[in-house]
Amino acid sequence: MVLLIVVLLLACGGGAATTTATTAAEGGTVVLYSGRTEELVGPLLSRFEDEAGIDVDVRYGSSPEMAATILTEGPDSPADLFYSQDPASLGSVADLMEPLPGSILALAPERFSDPDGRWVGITARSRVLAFNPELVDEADLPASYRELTEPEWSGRFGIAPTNGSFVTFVSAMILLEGEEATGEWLEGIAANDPVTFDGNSPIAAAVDAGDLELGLINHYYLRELAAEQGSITAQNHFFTEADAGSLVMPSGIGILSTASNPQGAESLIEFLLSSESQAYFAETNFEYPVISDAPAPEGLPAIDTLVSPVLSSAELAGVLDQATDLIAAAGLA
Amino acid sequence: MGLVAVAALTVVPLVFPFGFLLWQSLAGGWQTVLPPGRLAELAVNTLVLTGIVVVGAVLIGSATAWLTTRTDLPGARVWSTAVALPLVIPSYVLALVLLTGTGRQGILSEVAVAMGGSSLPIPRGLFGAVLALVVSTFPYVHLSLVPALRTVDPALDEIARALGAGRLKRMRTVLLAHVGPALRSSALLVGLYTLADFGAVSLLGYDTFTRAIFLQYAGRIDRRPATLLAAALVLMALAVIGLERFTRPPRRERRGRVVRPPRQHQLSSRQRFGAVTFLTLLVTASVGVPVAVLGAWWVRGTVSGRETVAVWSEMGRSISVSIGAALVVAAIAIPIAVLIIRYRSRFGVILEATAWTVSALPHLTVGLALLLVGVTFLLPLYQTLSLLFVAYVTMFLPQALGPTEAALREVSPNLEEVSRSLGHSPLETFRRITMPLIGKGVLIGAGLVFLTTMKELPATLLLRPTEFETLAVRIWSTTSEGFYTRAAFASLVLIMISALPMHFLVSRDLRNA
Amino acid sequence: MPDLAITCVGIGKRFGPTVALTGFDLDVNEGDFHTILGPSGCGKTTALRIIAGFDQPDSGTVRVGSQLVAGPSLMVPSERRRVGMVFQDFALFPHLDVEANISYARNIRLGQVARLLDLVGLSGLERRMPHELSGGQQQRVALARALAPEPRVVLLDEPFSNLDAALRSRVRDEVKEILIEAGTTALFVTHDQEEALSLSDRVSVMAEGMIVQTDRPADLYRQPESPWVASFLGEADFVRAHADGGTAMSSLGSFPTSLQGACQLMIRPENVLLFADAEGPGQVISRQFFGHDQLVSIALAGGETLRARLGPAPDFQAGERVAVKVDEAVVFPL
Repeated sequence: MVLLIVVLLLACGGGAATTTATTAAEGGTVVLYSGRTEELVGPLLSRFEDEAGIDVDVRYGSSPEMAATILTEGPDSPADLFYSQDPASLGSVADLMEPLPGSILALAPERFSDPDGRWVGITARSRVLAFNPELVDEADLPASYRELTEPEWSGRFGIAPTNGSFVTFVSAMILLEGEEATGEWLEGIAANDPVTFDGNSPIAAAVDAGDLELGLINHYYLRELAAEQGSITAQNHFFTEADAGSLVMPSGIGILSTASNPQGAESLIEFLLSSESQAYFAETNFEYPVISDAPAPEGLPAIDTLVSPVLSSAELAGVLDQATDLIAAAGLA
Repeated sequence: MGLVAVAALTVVPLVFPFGFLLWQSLAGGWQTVLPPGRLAELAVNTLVLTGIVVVGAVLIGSATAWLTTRTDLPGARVWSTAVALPLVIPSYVLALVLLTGTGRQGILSEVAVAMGGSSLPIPRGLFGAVLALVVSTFPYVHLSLVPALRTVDPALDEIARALGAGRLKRMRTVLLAHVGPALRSSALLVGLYTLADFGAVSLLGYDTFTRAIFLQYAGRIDRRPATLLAAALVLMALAVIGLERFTRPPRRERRGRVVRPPRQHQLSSRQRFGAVTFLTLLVTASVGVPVAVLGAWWVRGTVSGRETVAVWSEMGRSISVSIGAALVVAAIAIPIAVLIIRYRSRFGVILEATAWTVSALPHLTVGLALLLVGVTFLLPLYQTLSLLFVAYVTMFLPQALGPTEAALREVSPNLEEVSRSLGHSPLETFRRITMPLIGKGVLIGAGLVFLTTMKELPATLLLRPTEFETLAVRIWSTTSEGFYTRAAFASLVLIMISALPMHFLVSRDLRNA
Repeated sequence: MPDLAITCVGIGKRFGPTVALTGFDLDVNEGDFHTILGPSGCGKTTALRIIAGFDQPDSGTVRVGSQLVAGPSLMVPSERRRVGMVFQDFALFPHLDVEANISYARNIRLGQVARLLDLVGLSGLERRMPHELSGGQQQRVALARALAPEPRVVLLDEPFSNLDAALRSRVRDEVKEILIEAGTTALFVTHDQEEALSLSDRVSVMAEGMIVQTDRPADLYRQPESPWVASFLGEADFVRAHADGGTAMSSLGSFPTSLQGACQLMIRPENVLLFADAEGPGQVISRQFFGHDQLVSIALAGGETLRARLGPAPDFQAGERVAVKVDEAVVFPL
């Protein structure tokens, strides 16, 4: 009996091993921990698999979750690459990353990459205020995210306080305005009856459907919604002050020092920074490409026209947990 | 010897992860990680939800059980099965139904608007969570009360009546005394289910422990807050189990068989109309509407050109992992059942109690505990199906153990002894006599494990190997990302796969009652 | 000295605090139909289970034939003892038909199943499932199954108690015949005296975990070694007597004995004759009439009571005085 069970368990374990092993192609396999969702990057990764003959095993999760996983796994991590939605998560595992070759770093502007060259920006996203023009006129929108604490907007806006982008936005606020002001603002928001979500997409959908008037999200979520629905009513509003509300954040990728397939990992990064992929990001995901010759996403202001505070990922990473604590202390998470 | 080894191999993995989880959470100095006020707030939210859902589920489940067993309601058997149908719909799919049904573009809102009403608001927070969870749990109350209500001895009621007891007193002394244990245990089951629910509360944004645990887990690089909250939730679940056990009245077993079926309450034609209306609305709301909303959303999305991604590989993974879990759990349950029933070993009893308790703990905490253990001690197993299977065994062992034990209890040990005296070894005896005779029970257990594995979300979410997205995980990720069309399709597939075996198990269950 | 089929020496067995067997000794002769007779709870089923190899004794040895099967640090498993077993509930395999049940044993000679079906009179019912058989038929299938591998001995645990009274005596005879035909040693356990005495070649009476007396049925009944055995085997009354010089004397007559001094007589009702006699020493207290016989209770002069089993006549009345004649009595010390 014992034997039977042991055999069964082994068979299962073995089964798992073989399923991963059988997919190994001629170019080998790279293991990617992705803090970006499958909806955003999955199709592009399949294209890479076809073109490069390298299999990509992707583990999807949130960016901090993947960063934490890499930190706990330490040198045993099976991951070759970490692709993060926010610079803060990248910053927290930067010590475990190998500096990238100059040829790769040269592809993206310095301001979207790690100053020490351990990760490189792939796309850039701007914080925006999504609004439903059928319910509120663009001219009447708050001039700054700060005004959302005013009674006028009570119960009319949505936020995703636990989402990485929002946390990065709060991190930026801490760096720019100090912990106290940030805490006060968060408490003001919490007191102003916000509708909270766990992610940005549902906010975009709710604003578009007219269930909400406003939502603090990243600029590309409405475009994703449009891709899914065909047409949308909601629009993006870009804040014009150079503060946390107009923060432009890179998504970035780096190679772990313990990577077992660094060549494969480098080809994946090169692929993501190719003009073809960058065009895909712009056209399909509506994100800003980072390479110089790529066109901006259709219907969006050029990236150079966006005002954004300049903050390093290391700085953002440094206050990440502080931001999370402030959000929790305000009763938002 | 071998049996004790199996038992030891089971108890330790069952308990150790939770010990490690508690230890980890205390190691970091918990107040620095989590403000006590936050803990209190989560505890209150969780308990409020649990209380409301228990009351709601018990009220509805008792009503359906009573109507279908103790009255002359036409088609009672059909109703009894129909009422259990929501079991095929996981709570997170019900959350998806609420999200796609309401709001400006919701299917139900459109119906309401077409009928001249206004669009329905999205029931986020407590209200939505209560709706989803009551629908998910009342069938459990129904299923456990039906057998109890069928076996109330009418003689007791007649004696009470002869002794001049009034209707209320008879209800209290005869009916409640008999169905009390079933009522209690189903209320406990519903309570633990609600305490543990992750999908519905997360998608509907009601702030309970499970939602907070996952948000902390996904949103922070520091794992301590999630660990700490999980430990608090484990302690809370243990407290509920312990409280129930300590306040449980001593078991009074009534010997002797009930010869006659209990008296049927004669419904007046008006009562009958009311009962049929109630059941029709209930079944429509809990099964018909969800399936219709999902189907309508999917069709509307597909027609308007929304991208739908085939979920066939997710379906394949879900089915194969569920079959695998069913086989592994059933196989482990057999020697444990033998240990408990045949050898009456004290160790077996401890093991059984452990298995029941551990399986009652929230799946999210099982996932988190095993994740911590995997990363810390079992790196080769980490991110493999094996660790996921350990979780399934931890969570679902009693489901296979129950029917297997019941079947084994029906097999006289004399049969096995005769076989031995006729020259067959214990193993041969097991193969030729015991196994064929308990086969049905084992199969039922495996069927239950298959179904619950199909629906399981939180542990699978945390422990699945890289690139191993199941239907449940896909429904979760697409719903939380707002891709409702894909989620609706995956949900319909999941419901279809579960429906057939569930129907078989439920109707068998009710027939045997 | 016949060969022994089973030899148990000094067997002890406890279940927790309960002593089931203590100093249990038993010899079963080859070819005998041997019965262990005892009240319920005396440990007879435990003894059978130890011989069959289902339980391990705490002390003592068991031999089947000349093979030691249980002893200190030795436990031959059931499947290697060649001991057949028939349970009270018959324990037929419910998922196998009659033929499959009978042919279940590991080593069966060619043609054995047909031979056994014929022997137990179940030819033609090979494809029946156990639940389709009557109680008596189930019994015979169980017996045939136990005999199939030609065991050295067949153990039967209360095999008739699950049958209704009307069927029981017929099945009993059939079983006995089958066992004689098969020529197998049988060890049979029962609490029913009549069953034990009518079926057995030898009977061992058991009490409180040990054998108290083993004898041929008639010897056992007529020459019990203790008052307890005497009472257990049948109706017995005890009357005080005084022994001197090889004779025990009482108001009921004199009986030979080797005892000396105060003693008692064990008298069975069928050995008592009553005569209507107005001067007689006894007085009728009550009478139970059964038709083919009657049981009359009388009070003796010393206040002791005695029962007499008589033919249906004469018609004794309560209060009537009678004279008493005792044909046979066993003398026990007081």
